[in-house]
Amino acid sequence: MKQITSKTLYGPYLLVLPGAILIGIFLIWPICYGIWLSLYNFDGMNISGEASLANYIAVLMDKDFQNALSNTTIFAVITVVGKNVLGIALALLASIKLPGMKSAQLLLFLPVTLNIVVIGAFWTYFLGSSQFGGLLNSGLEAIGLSQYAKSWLSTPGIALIVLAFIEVWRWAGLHMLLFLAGLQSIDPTLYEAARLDGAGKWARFRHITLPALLPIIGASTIFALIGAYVRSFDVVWVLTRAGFDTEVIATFIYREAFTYGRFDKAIAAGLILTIFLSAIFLITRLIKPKGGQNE
Amino acid sequence: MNNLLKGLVSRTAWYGLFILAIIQALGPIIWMLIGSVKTSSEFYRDPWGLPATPQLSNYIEAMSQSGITSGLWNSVTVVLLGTIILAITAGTTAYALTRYRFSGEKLVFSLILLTMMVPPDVLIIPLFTVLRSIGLLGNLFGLAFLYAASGFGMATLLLRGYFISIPVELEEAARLDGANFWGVLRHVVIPLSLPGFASVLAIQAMSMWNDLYLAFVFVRDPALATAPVGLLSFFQRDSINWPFLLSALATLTLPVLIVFALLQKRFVEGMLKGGIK
Repeated sequence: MKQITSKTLYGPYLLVLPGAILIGIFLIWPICYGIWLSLYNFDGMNISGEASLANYIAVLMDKDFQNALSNTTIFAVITVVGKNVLGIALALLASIKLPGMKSAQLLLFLPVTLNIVVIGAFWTYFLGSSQFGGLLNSGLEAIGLSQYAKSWLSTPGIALIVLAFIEVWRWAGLHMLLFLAGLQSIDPTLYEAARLDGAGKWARFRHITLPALLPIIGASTIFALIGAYVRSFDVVWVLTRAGFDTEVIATFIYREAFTYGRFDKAIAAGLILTIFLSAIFLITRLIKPKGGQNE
Repeated sequence: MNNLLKGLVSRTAWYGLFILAIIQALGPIIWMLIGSVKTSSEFYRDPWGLPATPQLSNYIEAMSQSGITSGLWNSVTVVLLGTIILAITAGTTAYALTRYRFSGEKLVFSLILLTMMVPPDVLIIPLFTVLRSIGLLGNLFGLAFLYAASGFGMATLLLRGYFISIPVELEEAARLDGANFWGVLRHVVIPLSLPGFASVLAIQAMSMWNDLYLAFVFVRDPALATAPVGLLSFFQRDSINWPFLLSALATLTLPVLIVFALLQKRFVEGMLKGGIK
């Protein structure tokens, strides 16, 4: 494409400057400063000690970190599977050609726009004790399954799974849209040809729809992983205040720094997470060219 | 006849499933809106039913609480500031990347990628110390800059997509007519990319408006707390006045729903493009 090459007073460097300053101060500086700080003892105010990797080792050996890591990984597995499955199911449902379906797609997207406090208020109430109108527990009691009624957000072993379900519910609309876009890119004559060859519904889904959606499943999985490992603070904090059973890495970092004043360890934990995330990102970049997506 | 019946049954089944899907998506919003106009006793008696008479006074009462109005006001301020900062920084960067070739272009692209790889969420502690040393810790300016920085990568890539679709010839024509750089920007670039610009900014403004984490970590002063942070402390109390809380939450939600209703497809499109990249 054509570019303006004439020399103007407002050259490209001047144009890039505001963005560069923003990124310089709020991204590059914190990354570099963080790496440097992570090598020393740092309580939030004073820096001391010799440069070493002690903080990283301390984090990796920390039982609380290991607990947070395993919780986050359970959360990640459930949300990755859940967001993909529910996203595909909703997309298939929303792509059926019946009157009114088109506008309803937008309604299915609405939970994505909700504030986490709204989400927290609803699910706290919905999952709460039947005495106070918790719909799930009163429903279970009504159909004679009262032994299964429980406080869903504070029972060890259950709360984390419930949180993952809420996270899946919250973002299902976004994943649906991703998959809808994928479905629309499939050539309809493929289905026609398969039908003529005698392929049933399931066979068509397995051999046409699913392979065509693979790149989207990849993108959707990355979203879900970032959601679990990086952005899970709010859902966990709002709904459970992050007890031991629902502690995730994001809440671990927050607690290390602001409850215990161990800023050095918190920084090291954040950087371990960053390395992990960058690795995921780079791996997907390396795989991507096959899918043929271009900028 | 048999076929007709089969068609009818499958049609009903699909609509049934679809209605279920809609209920799960809209249920919480409807519950919030209905709950927000109940009296307290109505809410406790029947939390899922309709009120006898809608109590709009709940909203007035919620708004008369200084904590809630100041929270909303702080949210509006920080979102406006953040959006302006983002529009300027991402707009200029995107324009440079669209219309100029320059050495260092690659570097700019990899920095943009970096902003998407390393969200501020993993950097909160170093950011905390950096903000403190430049005096932006604990105030809305610092938060606005953080929001702009976290949306910068995605916004720049999306805006570049919109700028590329503007024919260079139009800009050259304007230049030949004697327009200077700002003239071209004002009369060609901004008007032609406005719908795209608006949707990008609306999406970013929404995520700033809805943010809890960064506001929670970086602004500790209750007087400066944004609305979600303020309402969280209401919500996590032992005894909650639900209709009151819900009317405050509805006030927080309605602006987003209105913007979403106005932009609809465009909003969703922008979200998708930003997501896929």
